Amino acid sequence: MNTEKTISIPMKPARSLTVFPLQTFKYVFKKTIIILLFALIWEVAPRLGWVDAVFLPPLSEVLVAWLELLRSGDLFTHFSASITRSFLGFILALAIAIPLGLLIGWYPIVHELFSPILELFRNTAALALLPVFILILGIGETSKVAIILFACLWPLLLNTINAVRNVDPLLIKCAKSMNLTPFQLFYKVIIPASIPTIFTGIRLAGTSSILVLIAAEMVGAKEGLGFFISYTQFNFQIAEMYAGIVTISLLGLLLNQFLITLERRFSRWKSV
Amino acid sequence: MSEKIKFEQVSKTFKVRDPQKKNAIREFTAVKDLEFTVKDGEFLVIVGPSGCGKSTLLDMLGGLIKPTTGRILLNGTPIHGPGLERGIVFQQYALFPWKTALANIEFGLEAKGVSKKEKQEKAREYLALVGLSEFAYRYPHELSGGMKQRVAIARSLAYDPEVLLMDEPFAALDAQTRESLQEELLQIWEKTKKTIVFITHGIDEAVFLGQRVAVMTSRPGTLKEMIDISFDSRTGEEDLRSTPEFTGARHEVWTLLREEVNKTHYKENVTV
Repeated sequence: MNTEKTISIPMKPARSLTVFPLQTFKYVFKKTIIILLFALIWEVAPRLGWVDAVFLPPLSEVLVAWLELLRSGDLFTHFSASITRSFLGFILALAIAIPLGLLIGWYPIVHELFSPILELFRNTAALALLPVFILILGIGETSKVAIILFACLWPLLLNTINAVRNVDPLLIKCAKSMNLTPFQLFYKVIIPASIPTIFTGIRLAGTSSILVLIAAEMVGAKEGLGFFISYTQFNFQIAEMYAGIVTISLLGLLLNQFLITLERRFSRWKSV
Repeated sequence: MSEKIKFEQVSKTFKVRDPQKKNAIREFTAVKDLEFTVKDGEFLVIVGPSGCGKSTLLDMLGGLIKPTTGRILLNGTPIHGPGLERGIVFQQYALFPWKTALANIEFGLEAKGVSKKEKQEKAREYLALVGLSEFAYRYPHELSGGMKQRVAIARSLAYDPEVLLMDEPFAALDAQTRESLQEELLQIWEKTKKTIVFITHGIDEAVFLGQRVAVMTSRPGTLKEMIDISFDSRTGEEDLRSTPEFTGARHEVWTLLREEVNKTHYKENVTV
């Protein structure tokens, strides 16, 4: 026993000193190698003439254009216009879909009544309805926020309904045996048990909010990243166009990462 | 000892879909003409072949379902629904996965409406009773099966029910854990003087735990025989399972159950 202890104590710091940085290096390498390779190909392909440098400028030129846009403040104007719309639509969808979904999921009769129309709407591509939204709500902010709201609504609603309907019946039975009122049962058992599945819906909605936003801005807007991309394309500012596209990717990544962090925060109790 | 629970001609039928005729509903009798009493402070074990309606019996006692005919009296008054004077321990633990061990135990106390301070003290006290004080802030997925069931038992005991209903609580555990939990349960029973109704399909478990063992018939389940088990103390050091009294009682229950199991086989073979 004694020798084991004296051996194992000096081993531990030694391990963490030498092996740990190597592990970190391996981890970083595995996570970045393909992206670096992709960046390299983007840089090299136009320079070697594999693709037309006019239509696909090297990455370095795109980055220069991006920094220039950042410095001039143009990028921020479009970025904030986009994120405001996306955020507004998303939040409104949350405010509508989650309470509604909880209700539909909890009352079987409401579910029976609503499920056919839910099926119909969720299988209707939001963008197919964009002309309708523009006709009714005009070309301004309202129609854009509305289409984002519409696109976010269905994944949120369906996941919330599923979450409530799939709460482990044993937990409900157990709570009932402790004489909980239906209201207590709902907010002490049904809601906490539903949170992980609801978050799946929130993440899906986040993704579609950006997707639909860009398309809506391309159709008719005076600012925003979608508008910026189609505008630069018309004016043949190709490097700027790519800069816009890169920004959208970053926006998407950022949003997703934010939602994942939030999800972890709320479902720490889940086994990995 | 006074009467705690009294079953008076209790039967339960369910409506089920007929497998032979489509859309036809037929009646299915789970338990029939149950008539027995449980004394105050008694440890009664109910044992029966699988599908004999043991769980139906317990659900009725817990107030989760109503008998079709007859009634169940608790302290002389008929049971109409769930109540905190009865605590149920389920085979699959039914712990709330988003709550820590401690918070799970507090859950039943919340339903009872005690002060925050008392709630915490009680929860700590019962966590200590099942020997898990160090695991207060672990989530259920971080606990072993035996620990989970200990937490579940503590949760049911914490709100101080008069009767503890246990539905095959140790069936999902390995043999060693099961034996130590059986012993712990007996110690808890002697300490707390609760009335316990314990359901199992294990003969050894039934004989080891029960002061009386109720043997049920195969479907439709009814009481076949009530056997008195006459050991003085079950919590002594010696190996009770190897004593002649134990083997004798075990054989008696085994013989009674054997007849029922054979009947079930015969029935199944005839209908198929």
